[in-house]
Amino acid sequence: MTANHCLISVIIPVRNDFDRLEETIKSIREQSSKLHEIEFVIADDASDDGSNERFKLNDKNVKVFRLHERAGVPGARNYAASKASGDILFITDAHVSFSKNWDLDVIRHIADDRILAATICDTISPFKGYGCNLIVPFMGTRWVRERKPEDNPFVQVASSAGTVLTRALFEKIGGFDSGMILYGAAEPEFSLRAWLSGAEIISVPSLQVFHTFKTKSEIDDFFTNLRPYIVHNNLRFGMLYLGEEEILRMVRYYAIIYPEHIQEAADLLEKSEVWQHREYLNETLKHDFKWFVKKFQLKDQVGHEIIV
Amino acid sequence: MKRRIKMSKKVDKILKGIVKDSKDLQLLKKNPEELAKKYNLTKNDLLSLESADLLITRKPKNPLADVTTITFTTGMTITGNIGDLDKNQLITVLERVLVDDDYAKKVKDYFIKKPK
Repeated sequence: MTANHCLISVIIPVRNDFDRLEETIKSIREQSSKLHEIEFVIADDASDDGSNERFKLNDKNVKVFRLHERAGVPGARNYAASKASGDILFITDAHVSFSKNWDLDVIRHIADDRILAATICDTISPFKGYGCNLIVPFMGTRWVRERKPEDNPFVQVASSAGTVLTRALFEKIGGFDSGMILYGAAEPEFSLRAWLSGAEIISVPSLQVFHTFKTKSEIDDFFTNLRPYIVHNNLRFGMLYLGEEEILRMVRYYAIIYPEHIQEAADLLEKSEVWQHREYLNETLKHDFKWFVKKFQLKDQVGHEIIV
Repeated sequence: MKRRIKMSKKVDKILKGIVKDSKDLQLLKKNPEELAKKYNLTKNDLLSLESADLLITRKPKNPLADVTTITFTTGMTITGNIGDLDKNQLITVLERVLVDDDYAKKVKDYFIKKPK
């Protein structure tokens, strides 16, 4: 890879959201400096609303790959990344636009063992998120809302709509966890695994992704059938990295807040390879979770010490 | 030196138990002491289970999330600040505060208890 001329692959998983895609592609292109080549790699995650058939953009730099069975966001991203030709992957969503000269920001900051966390900006409010922090033992994330120029640039988790890294690093980390079902937890797990693999994640305030967030009712609709999988994914995330005592606390916490979903989630976990995967991570990662807790002086979600 | 992390047989047994028997799920939720006896857990294990209660009682629900469009990205993201509301959302909050006493109390409680 040379800094003079790069091919950047913009990775977009899409499910039933093709109607907004052409505008997204056009906008991303228009906002680039035109000094670097850009390809779009779209993974159609088994759309079933017909919007994928209406998408007729004929462009050699827009590659659409259809998955015939729904793989979920992590699976679709992994598939698209495997089809990318670029040295750099910009992992994002279907309904975004980027800041002016975004590609120059990418080239300026990218490094072999570094993930760039773009700043996520809401399109209708002043909201800005400079990456996220991990919430333990919930295993979700909380936005980093403020960043001063003198702050150190490191951030725990890169947001799903703005994660930039070399293809070589994506492959070294091993892509998104294929054990995560459909939706939820894959992005923070990926970021944590990146840190534990020896990579770093930095916030790049000037690299901005303008994102159309779902409305409350859209979120409710979207999650109607996904909740057991989200509970599964978060529990899986915790079971891969936390100490036994934190896992016990997490399991009871989920039993209390999601009693209607925990049995299904636990059943899915029992049928999965979560413990074997935990062993595999233990064998292969450079650092353990204790290292991450120390690096970020991480506390639990109510400000107590994390038992590691 | 990395800490060796292995399968947790205790966690595995509890997960199997709650899948098979809803009574175990009830014990896990409401009577961790009985669950600890049933699964032969240590005192520390019981303390870990019980400490989940602290996570519930100390987490104020954000009533602003009911009207913002920026609450979640993954459904597991916690955010929501009054500064994030645009004009219309702020008006929606105010209108609801004026007509809905329960909601007004939630907003008041949220700002009193909100962690910094």
